[in-house]
Amino acid sequence: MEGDWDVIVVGSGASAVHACCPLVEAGLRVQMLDVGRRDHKYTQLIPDQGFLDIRHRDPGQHRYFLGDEFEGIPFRGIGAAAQLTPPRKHVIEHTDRLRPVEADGFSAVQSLALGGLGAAWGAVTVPFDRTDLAAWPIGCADLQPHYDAVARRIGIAGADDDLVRCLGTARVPLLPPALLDSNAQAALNRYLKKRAGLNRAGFFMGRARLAMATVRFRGRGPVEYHDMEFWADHNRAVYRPQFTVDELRKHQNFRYRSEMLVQAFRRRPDGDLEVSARNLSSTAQERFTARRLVLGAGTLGTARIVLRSLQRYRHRLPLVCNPYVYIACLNTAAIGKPVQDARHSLCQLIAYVQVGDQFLQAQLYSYRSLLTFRLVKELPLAYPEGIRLIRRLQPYLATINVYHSDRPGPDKYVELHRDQAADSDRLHIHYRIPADTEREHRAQQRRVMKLFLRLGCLPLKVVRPVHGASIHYGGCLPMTDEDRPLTTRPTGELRDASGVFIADGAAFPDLPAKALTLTLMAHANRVGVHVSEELKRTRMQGIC
Amino acid sequence: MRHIGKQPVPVSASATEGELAAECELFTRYLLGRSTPESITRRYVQANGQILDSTGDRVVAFVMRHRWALPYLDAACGLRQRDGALRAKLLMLTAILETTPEFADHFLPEASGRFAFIIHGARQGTIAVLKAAVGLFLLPWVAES
Repeated sequence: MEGDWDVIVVGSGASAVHACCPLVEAGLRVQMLDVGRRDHKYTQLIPDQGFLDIRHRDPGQHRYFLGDEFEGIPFRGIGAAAQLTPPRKHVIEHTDRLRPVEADGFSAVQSLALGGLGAAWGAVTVPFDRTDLAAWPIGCADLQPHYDAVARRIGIAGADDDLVRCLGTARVPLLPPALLDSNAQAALNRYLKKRAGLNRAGFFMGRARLAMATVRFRGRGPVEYHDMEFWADHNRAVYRPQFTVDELRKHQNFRYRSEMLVQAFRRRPDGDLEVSARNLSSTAQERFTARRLVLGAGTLGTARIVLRSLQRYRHRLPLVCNPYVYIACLNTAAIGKPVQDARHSLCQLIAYVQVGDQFLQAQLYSYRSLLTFRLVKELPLAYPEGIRLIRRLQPYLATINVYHSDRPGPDKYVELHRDQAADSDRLHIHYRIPADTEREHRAQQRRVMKLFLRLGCLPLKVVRPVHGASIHYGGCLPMTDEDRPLTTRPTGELRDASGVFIADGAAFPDLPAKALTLTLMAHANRVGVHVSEELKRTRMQGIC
Repeated sequence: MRHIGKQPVPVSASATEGELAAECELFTRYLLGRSTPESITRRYVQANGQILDSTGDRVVAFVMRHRWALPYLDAACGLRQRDGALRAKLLMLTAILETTPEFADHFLPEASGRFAFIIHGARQGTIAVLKAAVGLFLLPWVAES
């Protein structure tokens, strides 16, 4: 058995790494247990060149653009994780087998990759505000120091523009904003001309806040505007959690163990926590002990570990997930304007649209590097006409992703079901949104479309992916002041298991209509700081 | 291995590879107005062997016997049989051609002025509608034959 660690952290995604940082900085002995899948096939093939150069010059591009088994060609409809390209498919590899799910009304996306889902995230970084945290037992003042700590660690590019109205002024200086492509610049120019009226209508737009090194930042970047962010991490310009794992590994008091699928924890008679994991290389069961355990395996992964550990089979845990749609638009404001080649592939602009007392987040993307055939496939046209049309349309195509908030409900839950015969278990997910909520969402989407139409963005098609496709999950072990089973205290500590902390979205009571990853990182940092302070106090008092 | 259409049948006989090569040649001329380099044919045959099986697909078989019908049936299948073998094969070849440097410019975005944009859109739309009209008339008959 492996011992004697102060803290074991499970996972290597956005939550797990930012929980680790304050622990390691405090000098505690921290072991990270992770499966840690990587891409060994395609990443090394991708040249560090711009998208157009690659398209014209690399004879091997079909390997990483399509995949050796053509896994990059979407023959079916648009599913969850549709944007994962062959070099990123490892992010969701083997989850069906190692973390089986049966789902009703939901398509679960999980990751066992090094970096977790953060290995493929879109890098939009926005904080939650007072309204977003209304139902939480913690507020902005509790999270702000941790937003600041994370921002100093990862670097956030953006501008103090009209988004300040919804996001507040950045307390940690922002890196210079990423260059806009011509499509987004045209939309922003139109917004600036019509700003007064749009603001009165509750519409605020600005440059996307991205975890992107637009200048050299802590050994990363600067971004080269190759438009290859969906395929490669050349120059490490876009922040990925695995970069933090690399930094942590330089510390003597940190150890990273890959190929470890954590299964359960228990409390030992001596008061320490024992974590059992299956070594996927040797298939042996291994056990590790520590004084504290931090779970950052992702909402579904953490829920599974907790339910199994506490033997709470068939016990329902709530589940929340941002419903989202994306709206393909023709940006008429951009037609006829010169098109620039140097660009990045990620979100260009963010808009906040007021609906009632909350704001919906809409993210505007252009389209090029995910290739033409994916769009042609969606058209009900003969292929030659489809190709010609998409070629003309693409420079002016804007995709607007709209997120809706989500709160717990009776028809949204997860349960762990045991299969005695197979000596395994399976996470069952049931997820339904009430019909009146669906109607409300559609009304909100129509409002968003009307406001974008004022910018010249003509909606062409609304795509409603299956629930779960936003890959924003939370709610299973919610933070609350109430003393209820299978909840976490405001510190993130699981009530049913002293010394076990929930660092990921499982602890979020609900999800506002916003990108959540920055808040995942801040929450995790907060948990890490709390655990390190708690352990320092107990050490000083001579208690374990 | 993903299977589109029917259960997979191993691609082993050279006659089958010959058929796939003929498909590739026809479809490349249809998509780009050019003949097919050998590298593209190889990749197309490989892709068909790995992930597609259209053995016995009536629409594909009809198109190979009556090449004039391809544009119309493509248009009709775009409306009525989007997950069918013909559309899957055209998608696959489009992807293969797009990711070949020699053909990159046939797929890269093309900027245009407002007037050209509107005219082009109207032209492609009209052609698409006419093709679909013929194809929708033809498709049921092909499917039954």
